[in-house]
Amino acid sequence: MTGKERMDYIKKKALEYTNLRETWKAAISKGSVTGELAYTTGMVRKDVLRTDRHHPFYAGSDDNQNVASLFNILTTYALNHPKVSYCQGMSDLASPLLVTMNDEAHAYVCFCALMNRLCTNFMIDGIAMTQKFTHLAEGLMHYDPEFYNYLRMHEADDLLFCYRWLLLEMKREFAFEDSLRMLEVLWSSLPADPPDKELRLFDVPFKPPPSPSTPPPLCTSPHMRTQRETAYTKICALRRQSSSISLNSYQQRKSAEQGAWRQIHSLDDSMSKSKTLPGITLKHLSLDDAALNENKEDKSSHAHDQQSRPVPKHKPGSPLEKTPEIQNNRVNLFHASRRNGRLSASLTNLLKTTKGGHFKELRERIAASKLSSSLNQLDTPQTIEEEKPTGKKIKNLNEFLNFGSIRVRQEEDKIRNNIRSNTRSTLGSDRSRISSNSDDRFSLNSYDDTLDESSPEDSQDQTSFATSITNELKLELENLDRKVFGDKYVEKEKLSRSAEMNNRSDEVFLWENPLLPKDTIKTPDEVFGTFTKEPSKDTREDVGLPISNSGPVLPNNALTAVTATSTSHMTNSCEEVTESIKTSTHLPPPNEFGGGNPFLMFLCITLLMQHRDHIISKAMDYNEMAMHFDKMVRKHNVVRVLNQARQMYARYIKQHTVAHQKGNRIEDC
Amino acid sequence: MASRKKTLLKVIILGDSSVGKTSLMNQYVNRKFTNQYKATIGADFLTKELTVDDRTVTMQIWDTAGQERFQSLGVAFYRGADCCVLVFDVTAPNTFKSLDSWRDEFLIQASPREPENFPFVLLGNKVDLEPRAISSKRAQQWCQSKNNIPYFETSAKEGLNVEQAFMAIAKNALAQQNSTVDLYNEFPDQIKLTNTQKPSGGSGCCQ
Repeated sequence: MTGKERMDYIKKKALEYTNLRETWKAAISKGSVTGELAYTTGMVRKDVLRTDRHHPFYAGSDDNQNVASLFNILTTYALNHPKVSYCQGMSDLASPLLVTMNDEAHAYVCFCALMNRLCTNFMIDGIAMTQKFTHLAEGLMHYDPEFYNYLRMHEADDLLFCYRWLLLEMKREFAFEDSLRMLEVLWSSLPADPPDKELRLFDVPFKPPPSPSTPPPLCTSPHMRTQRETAYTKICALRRQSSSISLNSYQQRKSAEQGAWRQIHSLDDSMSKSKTLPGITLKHLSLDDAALNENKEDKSSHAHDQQSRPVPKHKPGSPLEKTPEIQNNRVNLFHASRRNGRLSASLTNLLKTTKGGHFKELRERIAASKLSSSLNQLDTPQTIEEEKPTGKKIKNLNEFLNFGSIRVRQEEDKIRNNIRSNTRSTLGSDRSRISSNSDDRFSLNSYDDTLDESSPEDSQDQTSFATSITNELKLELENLDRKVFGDKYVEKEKLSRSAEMNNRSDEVFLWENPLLPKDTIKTPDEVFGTFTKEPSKDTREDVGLPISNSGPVLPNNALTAVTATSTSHMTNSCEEVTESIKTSTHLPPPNEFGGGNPFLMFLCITLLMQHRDHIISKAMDYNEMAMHFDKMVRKHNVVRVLNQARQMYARYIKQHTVAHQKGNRIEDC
Repeated sequence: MASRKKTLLKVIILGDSSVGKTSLMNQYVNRKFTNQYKATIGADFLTKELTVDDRTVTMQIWDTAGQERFQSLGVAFYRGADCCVLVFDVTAPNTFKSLDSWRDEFLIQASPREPENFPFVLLGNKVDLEPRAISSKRAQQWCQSKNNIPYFETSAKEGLNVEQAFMAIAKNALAQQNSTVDLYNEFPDQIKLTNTQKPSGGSGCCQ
């Protein structure tokens, strides 16, 4: 895009936003504030009135224009994304965008992009969050087994006190200004992910209810129908259900109850995802692959029939039977499933890898890849044939739950088709200090520049990494990209990268870029030259990451950093590399770890590890730990946390790069 | 029980979003009120030491998120609770209507040993605000229908009845703990406590 095109694009998007906003504004001014509209505006209003009000931007009386803007953004989003709607915490995500962009429409566009990536966090099914918890537990197990064991002894290994960290990407854990900085770094660590054509600002456009007595007929796109009816009706349905009202009287509200059913089994869904038979889930994937949108409903009913379990849509009453026994099982299974983190993670990895791809092709690819062993393990005891019922292998409850997971996964996959958000557009896409390409590349390039000055050895090493990627590997990466991000992504990448052919694999598969640990000494802020306010107090031991005020870091400092941490991974001997390969394979790859946001995992692990000594020395139990971290809200030292997290992240990335190229690498040695 | 000096009571606060759960907890623990609390994500926690019947107890208050979408977290947060505090906003009828589902949700998720005897306390908050939508009588009727749940009308903003309410909560929690820890010892007390604390509740206790 040229500068002018970009300006026009932004203007167009802003206008689009204004139209979306005016639709519901008009409905309100007509006085038809009922149902979904009333519910949404009510929820949003409650929360914007208490979101970051201490910040000057939102301070003052409740009629602060910025508060109103935040309200408009969230309401517009909720009404035009009925499947996601509004959920507490979204205001926390939108708030820094509005502060940064200082323009309602621009902030809305950013928010849409951000939510493309994060909306699954807010799904009632809890799948995305469960996966993040699983990964966090795995990460902690990997980096601090002693502390993890401590947590397990205190039955705190579910890490639920980290819920807000994961949901809001740590936004609340730091003071507001620190949060901005942390988010800048965090979101910059994500691979660039521009939308295929242009960013969609709505999922299902909000239409003011003309008359509530005209439900859409069944034959319309089931996708649309479900979406329109979930968010608000789910809540209503849940209320009905948990108020122990006889369910049979609600036959006519099938889809609403379907929503409720999904909600009730949120935990089951997440549980079943990690616990259930891979055959089922994989089968679902194949279904999903075969059918895009139109066939999904049919197929899922088909699957249901085979499992002879009730579909809420067809038998609305039955799924809502919520007995304490079932609940107890859920609880137990849930906890059991958490302990099976390893298994579930590998399964999840598979699922993540396969999303949006062509299943058959993918299976072949996977069979050839390093994931093959785990896939085969999962496959062998199961039947993977598409239509073969596996229900007989499961007990009733599980079967029941599996179906839930199928449905939810469908939803999830649909969302994922839209996901792949572009971090750059979430935070300051038109800000001048960000180069015309992605943040990532910008910062990486900057790393390279400074690297050349400060440490020739490192840059040499990096070059060797880059050159060691053979054509074959490039192809493989491209294929992987295709599977993960879809064909269009790859094509787009190809186009945009055609001028930089040599570095292509480096660029496209951004995660594979071998950030060396020493690079991390420089925060992006420092590279950008905006890092000025941090005094030396933050630099003390700081897990071996001295902070210079600005400019290139002296090799001396870098050396100190390495020795201070004295980790064997820092060196580049062949042995160490081989060891890295072994250890790194324990953690999911970067495009999956933490739901595709590995740096968030390292931020969380950092927070946990920075407090582990204190926690262990005070022999804190589960509740005390939760309270301890609660007290730490907005008090964490952002520099310390970022530095330590970045160091771990860099090591992790390097290990994965090495693992990915291990063949070539070992030969090189 | 006398041999144990410190007792830990776990109390869960439930209710729709924005009814004042966080405010009540902070008013009680810190004697502070601000209308700038953030929406609770997951759960917040505070502890307070207090003396109940000459015993020092530590009350651990779990302030949960009000929005339905966080309910799946309940399992973890509710476990081991000694008392469940239900809160509604006396000016917002919907928050009153939700009480049933919150109570059911808790009983299902926490699955206490004797669900019918598990202590709940109901707080009608924001009595400082007008107009009033839920009358004391209506709230009391609901309490009666649920095995005589104690009811308090509170204002977290003005600190009205907050201390009394939490004292009742503590007593009920303690009674619950005693009844489960050593069933033989304190069981009669549980009933007595439930009765005696009602007058202390000031306005609007049930019955």
